[in-house]
Amino acid sequence: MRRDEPVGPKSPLYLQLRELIRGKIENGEYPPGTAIPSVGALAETYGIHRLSVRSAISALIGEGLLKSVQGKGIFVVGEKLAKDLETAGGFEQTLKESAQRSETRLLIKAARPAGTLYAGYLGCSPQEPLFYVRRLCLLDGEPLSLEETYIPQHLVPNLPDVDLNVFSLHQVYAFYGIRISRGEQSLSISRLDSAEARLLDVDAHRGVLTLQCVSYDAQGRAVEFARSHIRGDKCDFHVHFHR
Amino acid sequence: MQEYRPRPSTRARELLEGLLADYRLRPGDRLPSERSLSEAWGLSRTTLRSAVALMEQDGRLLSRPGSGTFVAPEKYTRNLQGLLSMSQSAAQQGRKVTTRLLELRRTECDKHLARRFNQVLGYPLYKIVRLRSVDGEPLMVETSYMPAQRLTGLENKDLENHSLFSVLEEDFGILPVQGEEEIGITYATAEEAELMGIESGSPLFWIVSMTYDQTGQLMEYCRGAARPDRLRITTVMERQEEETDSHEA
Repeated sequence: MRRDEPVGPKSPLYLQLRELIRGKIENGEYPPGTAIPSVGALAETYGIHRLSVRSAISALIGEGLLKSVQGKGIFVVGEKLAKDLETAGGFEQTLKESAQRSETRLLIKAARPAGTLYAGYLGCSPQEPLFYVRRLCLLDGEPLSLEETYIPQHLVPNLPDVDLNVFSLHQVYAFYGIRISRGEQSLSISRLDSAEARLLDVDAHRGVLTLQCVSYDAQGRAVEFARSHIRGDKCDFHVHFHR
Repeated sequence: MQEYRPRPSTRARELLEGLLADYRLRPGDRLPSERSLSEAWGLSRTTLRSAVALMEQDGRLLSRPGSGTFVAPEKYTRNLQGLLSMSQSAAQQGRKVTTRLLELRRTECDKHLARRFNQVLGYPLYKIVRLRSVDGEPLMVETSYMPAQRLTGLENKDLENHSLFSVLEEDFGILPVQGEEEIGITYATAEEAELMGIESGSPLFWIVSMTYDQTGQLMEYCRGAARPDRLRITTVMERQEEETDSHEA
């Protein structure tokens, strides 16, 4: 962490506020993935000018500790994101046609016990509390895939406060120092029930590609079980292998 | 935070899959009756029936009219690591592959194949069409193309009782070293449907694979249509850790 000079009572107000916000990020009062109070609210709380608040915030955005999201607020990024590491052996999704715009819609973020099925995938007890996240991915406004993820709550206790329209799950894992290092993937074709077929805008009888993956961190802990139903008319999977 | 309450159809499917997942029920075992499951889980029999029907189509359950619903045999697993031939990997899973040779002839590269093999139009190839079955049940129809020049006399090899890759290795010294595969969905043609005993138009895996030999040449280009109720395809993704990042998390 960068600290040029100690901040004292004689330091400019924006520097004092910058260090105050930094402290609140470090001690967890502003947890990663959540929005900090608005510029107006900070200005009012501390009785300083909005311009000073802005300077403090933009310094922290420059350091990569905060992230500004248009129309949503200023979010805590926490641990800086690792750049994409090279992966090998996994299924890569290839789109049949190029798309201009992709978006992800959060449908459900809720708590649930693992139950027999997901306890089996995650190697935990059926009573283990999980987070369940269901999202719809769209390309140029058309549904591409329906993704469901099951995560043990104790790994990312703060998930309920994280805006998943702003941060990806992998970013949230990074906030907790968790890196996925291995994934056991399995590809099948399955039929959807009528509600799922409606969400994906497909004929239920046509079948979809279903990719299931249990992801592990470097210590071999199961981090998530994910299931994606993907429209076969929109994409293929590709995999390289060698002896 | 809100507690997730799955819809009854989702819950039925999860509970049924759960029965199979923890091995309380093995392939061939009969499921408890619809009535007892519906009472135990508090789900309507209609809901259960539609979940069972979906799992039947996916090859997880089998219904035998008059005697009940059974756990389907394990799917054959095609693991994309290691380049094992289908016969080798089936043997590892304690299963037996049988092959029916439907076609074996010399042909020429059309535009599409010429591009794949990086050759000119008319470049000679062998075309082999095979129906592959696992434990006697039809699994996939595979059409392979291989450069003919290196395989003179392939017509005389017994390709029903020997795996193609073992013939290539032992008789022609051609070894698979690396490959890539594209997997998508296709729908059964009338011919595929008849060969595999399914309804025409039902969804199938469409698997296009390219295998390269020790000299880096494309040794086989293969297109296969496989029954998804009998096959699952697995792989392991590994992420390379950067050395500078090896400090404790």
